[in-house]
Amino acid sequence: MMRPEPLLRIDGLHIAFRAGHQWRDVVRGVDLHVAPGEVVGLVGESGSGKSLTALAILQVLPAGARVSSGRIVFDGTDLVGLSQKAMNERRGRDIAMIFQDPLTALNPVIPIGRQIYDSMRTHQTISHKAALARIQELLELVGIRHPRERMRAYPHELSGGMRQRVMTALAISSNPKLLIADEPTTALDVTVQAQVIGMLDRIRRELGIAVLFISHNLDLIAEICDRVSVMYAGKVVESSTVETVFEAPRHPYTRQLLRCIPRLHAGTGPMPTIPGLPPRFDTDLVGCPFAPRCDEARDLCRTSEPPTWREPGHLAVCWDAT
Amino acid sequence: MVQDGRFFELRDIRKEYVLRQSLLQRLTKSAPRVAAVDGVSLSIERGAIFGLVGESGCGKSTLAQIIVRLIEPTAGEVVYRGVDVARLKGEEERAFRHAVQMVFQDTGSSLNPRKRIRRVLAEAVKARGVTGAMAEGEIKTLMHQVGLDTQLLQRFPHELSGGQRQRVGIARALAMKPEVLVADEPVSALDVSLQGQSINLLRDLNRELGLTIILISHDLAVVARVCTQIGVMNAGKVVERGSPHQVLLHPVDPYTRMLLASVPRGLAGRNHRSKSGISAIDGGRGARERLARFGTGKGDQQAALGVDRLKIVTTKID
Amino acid sequence: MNRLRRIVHTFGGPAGFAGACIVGLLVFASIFAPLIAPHDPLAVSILDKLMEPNATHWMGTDQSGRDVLSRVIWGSRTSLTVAGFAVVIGVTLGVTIGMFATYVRGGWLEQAVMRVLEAVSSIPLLIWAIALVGIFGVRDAQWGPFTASSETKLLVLLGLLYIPTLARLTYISALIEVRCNYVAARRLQGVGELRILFSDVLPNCLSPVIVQATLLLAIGIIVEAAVSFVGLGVQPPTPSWGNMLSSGRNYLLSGEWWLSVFPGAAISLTVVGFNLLGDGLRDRFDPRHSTSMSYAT
Repeated sequence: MMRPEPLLRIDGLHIAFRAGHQWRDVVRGVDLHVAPGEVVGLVGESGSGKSLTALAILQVLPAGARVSSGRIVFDGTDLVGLSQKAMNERRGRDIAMIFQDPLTALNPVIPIGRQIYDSMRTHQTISHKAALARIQELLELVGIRHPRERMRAYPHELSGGMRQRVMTALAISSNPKLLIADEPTTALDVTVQAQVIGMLDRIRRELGIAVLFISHNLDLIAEICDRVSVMYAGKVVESSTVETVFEAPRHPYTRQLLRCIPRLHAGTGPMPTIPGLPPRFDTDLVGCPFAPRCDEARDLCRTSEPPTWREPGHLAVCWDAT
Repeated sequence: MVQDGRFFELRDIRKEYVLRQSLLQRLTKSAPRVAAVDGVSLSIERGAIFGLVGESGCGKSTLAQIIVRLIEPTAGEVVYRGVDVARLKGEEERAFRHAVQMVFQDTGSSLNPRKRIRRVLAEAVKARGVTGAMAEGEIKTLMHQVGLDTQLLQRFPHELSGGQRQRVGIARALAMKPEVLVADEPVSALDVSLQGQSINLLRDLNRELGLTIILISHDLAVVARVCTQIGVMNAGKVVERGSPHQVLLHPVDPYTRMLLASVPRGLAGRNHRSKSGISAIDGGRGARERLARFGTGKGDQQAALGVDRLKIVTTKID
Repeated sequence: MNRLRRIVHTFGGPAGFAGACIVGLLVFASIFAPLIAPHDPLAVSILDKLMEPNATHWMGTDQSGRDVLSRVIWGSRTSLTVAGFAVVIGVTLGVTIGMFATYVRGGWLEQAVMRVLEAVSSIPLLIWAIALVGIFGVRDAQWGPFTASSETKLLVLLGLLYIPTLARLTYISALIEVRCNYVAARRLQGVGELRILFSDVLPNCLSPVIVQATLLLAIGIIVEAAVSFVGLGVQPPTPSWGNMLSSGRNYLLSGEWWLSVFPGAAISLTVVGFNLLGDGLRDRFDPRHSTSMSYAT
């Protein structure tokens, strides 16, 4: 069986941050792939490097961060080191991104319809009339009622959930192949979050867009993603289908993380937690970075970096994965 | 646990804000007002952990600030140990302030960025009149109570992690030897794997010190796990009240049901989510947002935004 | 090497560090003027008048035979005194008024204070300075038991004119800080509002004030020079860069360039120095400029 070439393939990505006058790796070797039409989740907590990985794909890392090694192959081309011009052709057109805080991602002084219009006219050749019609279509697709009136609204006149929908409409307006969603619902209420997730799911089914969904919320990822990679301290520590990760996780971090998710009918008693703190990026790591907090750690874990255990469709970076 | 129904009561608390008024409205005193808290009555038992759940804009933070008297209600009374708190003066008022403390969400501004942790706690303890060696002792005890290394005392807030700052906030509140602790979204800014550390700390404090805790959160799952009583807030009102068991399994109010249905359920929710097109409700827009929007004076905003849960109360101010 | 790097960082980069060096030089010159000036700046010598820069007089002599270099060095003392004390007055009073406005916020008093400050700042500084000095005169005045020289009057007036900017800066920062939770926490401890303002809020409002104060030092130098140039500031024979420029004006066409160029260069260099320092400090205090990892990962 020929495995089709993935749409996005990240190989050994290292991202370094400038601390004082040194560069230190924050993301320390990430492998990831997204097939066309697939929804892949990237899960991690603060300091895991997941957002930096997303920004690196679009080559929009903040000042003070840079890709120190690795490849990001999108549709056959390595994006690392690509010229700005070549990247601009892909950004917004083939790869789109939606962010956590739509208020800062949308221009506050331009009506939302106009923003979508501008984006469309930049990336595609489309007539004025066709563009307007498409904008209405898009707004309806993302679940905004009365699109013709709402087109003229300014971002601050809309609620958080609606702004997120507008941002999604903006992102898919050029029919991208890949949509990167970086914590799109973190700033939203849980009721609105449910609606936005439903919207994203529906869109990707109808348009066949591949989605890289980044979040710290495993439950959310489980609802919408096909596969998921779990990141800790700058590396992917486990990666498989959502079912496998939830039902048969191999990495202790995944297991312990799953235990911590607050669930509605989980009874009373102390809340499970992972003791300690994730390692700071400017400390030198010896052995497995999770070892200090792992409830199954052995001496071997503290001295040597664990190998990658692999099975078809499942990998985990742990000494005990077998 | 002393069953003292009259320990802490809220009687028909209302908090209204005036929307931006035109000159005419100002003269005739008929400006429209928005109710952030719209008639809340609650009774909290001593030693309970009371959870107040609601989404953004429901008024829970405003209610929290009213409870600790950071802001005054437009109407209604806060009654502590049988005394209307608004009538307290001087020493008694100060005693109330110390007795009812608040722990804030760690937004980066809950600790003075220019003060070291030692000074933050020293000032708190000094506010009770304790200085010198006794203060030093108390500071160390506080750090132990919240599970922090005393080595952190000489650090600045930005040198601490979010969870550590949260615990410093709890220590600062404990320094006043309170009877009631209001925790306003104490863990919302923390990673899930670390939330438990702060929540469990509150739980332990409740058990060991008999501290009454009012936990305010948008996370129903956290509240359900750790609280003895739950109140669900929506649009300024408490729409449901009861034990976690009651609220979770036998919710009465439709908003509560919607809230329960929206919590992500992981694999179980994978194919159950309604994937229908247009969203039914566009979130409860809070009083804060309503205020900001209507401040522009555009009357047709309401229609354009599809607001369906807005309440505007136009009253003459006597 | 590392220590140098750290010092450069304190001033916000190489430019700020350069500015700090220049300012340092200025301060040094003004403090040690009596020691480093080669000649007496007031020593008149008709024989030596209008000499070109040479070995004994590195910057030449002026129309009364006084050594220009010494006068430039002593002039730094005048400029720095006026500019420096003016800023001190401005900061002290400005910050106090700004905090007061925050304290009384929400009422008519706040509005009144702000409107008065705005009114004062609506007239350009230089025009105010000239007008006020014109009104109050340049001769030594008797204010009660004190004798105020022309310098003193100028620096007091300048200091008062700095108040609106500094008050507003403080006020704006304070309004933001006062809404922070750490302030609320202090209120819950029963601490009085005024005490909170000065012990908790004020330290967090000072960064923009410091930057602005540095820039106001530069402005002070210019204003002092301009006012003295017009004849309303420091009076001769006390050397001031402004009045040196003023008397040197008459000799430009006849070729005695050194009377104007050296004091003029001194003014320019000093102003550049303060501006570089101010910009450097501003960059340093700007939270976006820090290299710490403050972005979400």
